[in-house]
Amino acid sequence: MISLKDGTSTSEKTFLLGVLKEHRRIDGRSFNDARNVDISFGKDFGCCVASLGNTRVMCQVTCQVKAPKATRPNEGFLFINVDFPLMSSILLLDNDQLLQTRTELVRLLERCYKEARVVDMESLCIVGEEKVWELRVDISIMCDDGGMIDCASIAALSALCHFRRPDVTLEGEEVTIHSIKSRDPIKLSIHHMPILVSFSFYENGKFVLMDPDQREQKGSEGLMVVGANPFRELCTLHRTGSVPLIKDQVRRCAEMVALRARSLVGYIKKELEKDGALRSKREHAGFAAHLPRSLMVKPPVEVIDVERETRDIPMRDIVQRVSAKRTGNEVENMSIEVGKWDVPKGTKDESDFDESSASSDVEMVQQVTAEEKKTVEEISIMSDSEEDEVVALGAADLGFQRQKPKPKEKIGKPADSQALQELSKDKPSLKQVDGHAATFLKTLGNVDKELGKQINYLTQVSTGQPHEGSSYAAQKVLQMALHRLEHARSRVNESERIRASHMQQLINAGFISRPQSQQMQQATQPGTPAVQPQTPQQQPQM
Amino acid sequence: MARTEAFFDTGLRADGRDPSQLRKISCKVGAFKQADGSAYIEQGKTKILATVYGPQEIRGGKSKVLHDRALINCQFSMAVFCTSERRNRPRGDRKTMELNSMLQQTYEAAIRVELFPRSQIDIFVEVLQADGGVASAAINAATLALIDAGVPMKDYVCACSAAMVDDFPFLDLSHLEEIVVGSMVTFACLPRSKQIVLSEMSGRLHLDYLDKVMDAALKGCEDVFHIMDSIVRSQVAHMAAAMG
Repeated sequence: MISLKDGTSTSEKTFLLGVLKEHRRIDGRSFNDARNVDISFGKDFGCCVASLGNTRVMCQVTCQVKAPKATRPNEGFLFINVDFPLMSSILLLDNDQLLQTRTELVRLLERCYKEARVVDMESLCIVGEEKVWELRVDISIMCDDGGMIDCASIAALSALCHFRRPDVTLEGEEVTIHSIKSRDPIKLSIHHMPILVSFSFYENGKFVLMDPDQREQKGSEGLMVVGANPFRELCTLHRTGSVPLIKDQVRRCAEMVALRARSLVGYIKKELEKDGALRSKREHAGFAAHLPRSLMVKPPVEVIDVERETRDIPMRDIVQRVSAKRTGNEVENMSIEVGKWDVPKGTKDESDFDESSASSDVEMVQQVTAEEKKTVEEISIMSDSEEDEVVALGAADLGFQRQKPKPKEKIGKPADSQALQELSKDKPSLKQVDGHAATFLKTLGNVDKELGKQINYLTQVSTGQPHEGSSYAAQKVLQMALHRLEHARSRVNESERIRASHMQQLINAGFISRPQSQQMQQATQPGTPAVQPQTPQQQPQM
Repeated sequence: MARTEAFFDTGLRADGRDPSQLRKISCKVGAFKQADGSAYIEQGKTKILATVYGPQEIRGGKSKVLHDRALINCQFSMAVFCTSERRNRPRGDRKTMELNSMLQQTYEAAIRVELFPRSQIDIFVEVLQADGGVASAAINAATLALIDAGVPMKDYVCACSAAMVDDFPFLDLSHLEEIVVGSMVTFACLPRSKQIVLSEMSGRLHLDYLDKVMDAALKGCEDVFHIMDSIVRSQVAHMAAAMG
């Protein structure tokens, strides 16, 4: 934590307070939100890089054998060291400041991890009174954007949980320390997993922010660090700054930290499991593989010109027609499928009213439909915007245009823009303006006529008569008629069959001669379902 | 060591105190005539001496000057003979540096620093005998010294240590009790407004006990305040009478 003596400008402080009064934070978080945590483990055991937003801290745990303290012969050592390479923060150039911040950080971490007994010290004993393990936790602050202590605690905790010490065997008086290759190293025995969270206070304690970043820290009046573990046990309470606190604030912060501890420790455990799984498959790659994921990469923001997207389609069509008219040749070849028109995004509407433009651009429509006579060719784009397809015609092309078989109109500037340009001059020539205006009106009239033609064409193509609505009724009527037909047919067949059977009876009874009956039989055969032997069947029918 | 050593069945502690009882406090304001302000405090067996110089001009370079407020410079040192085993260094090791910053944090919040721009206030604290509660006694001593020096403050700053043992909050722990008990909290507050200016904690304390411990510690601070206030008033009255 950086002492509050370092300079923050008044304007920064005022701005920060203003933002807080609107119940917001500069980076958009809510007052009780902490930044995202990201942990990655290195190839060696006990190596961890943690990042909290932009703050990044690296921690490495190592061990060596040492003689224990006389007063505690069966306990190992835990030594915490914090290093501030200059790349972490420009504010730490002052030596006194550096020393103070460093001491503060180290003491906080010691209180949290050593005095709260996170690691079981007696398990680090090899031979009582002679040899014990000394764990050394080296923390290096790589980048400081506020919340250094938070990030350092996460890194230290993850590293301690990740670390494996070499296996030791005792044979009488001989102690053998096995290398990592010969025997699997052993995890440390960790009692509980506390983490530290910092808070900042403003306006005499009116606003409390969780996990302040550097800007918020610099402008704060008071800072508090609380350490807790998921079992809701506090292990650190530390306050700095010029604003005293109230009991309730302390309590509330403690509650928040207890909650955060639970979620964070869950995340750490998950990451440890993932790393363990990778290691068992021998796929762990260390930091290198993790780096791209943990970089802050923001995709470039795409600016969508909503106005252009939502322009009325009909207006565009008319504009297209007018533009096409200008080219002179497409009166007959105007395509009905509007979608194929490739309208320049900077449409006529804008350039017409752009009185200040004195360029000699000619706005043309580039025709995409497959037609032989292409009158517009895209020459060059004059505007900076990618969406503007302002086409400029050079003299050569004008010449080319004139050689076309049937130019209906002079190719030149749009009449209305010319009119407006005339008007914008210091001494407008009224005759010219009138002339241009008249041309414009004439083209409008032409457009109207063409539209009418198109509509007529469409009506002829789609329906022969005025359209009355859907044909569903007619279809239904047809269906019903077919049904009735079927029904009638079946009735007719039925009656035919009965008649045939009667005829047979009469033949058998001798009233009618055979040839007639045969004819009748042949006639009824299509109707009768099956050929039946006549004599035995007819008996019961009688 | 078992907890029962600190807390007998009779309900009293090893030195015969109630759990909520403070140790005997005796102090003297104005122990040194040379310093702007000084005080000597005895809290049980803990003996601490504090001196204040200031507000005065900034020494040690113009770079440290703060344009709108006074700079508070604290130095905490423990005499080599203060603990049962001889210490190697009186100051400069981690513990003393930590207490340095503790003092600084406390007085940043308590002294009216905006009244003395571009100046410096020095607070020197020396521990003569340490028997638990060193941080809280140091703060109490420094408060008295500041009052003696006439430095404007928001309020007295009174400190007290507390711990939770078997559902009972213990106040003002001695050295032995500090070792035995798992966790200890030190609070310093402005007694009239009950605002906390220092909160330090070691060991593990369950969140559900926090309220009780805080309440007990703040009550202890209030008791310390009454004692200090009465002593200050009587000594000032004495001085005024002597001056005529």
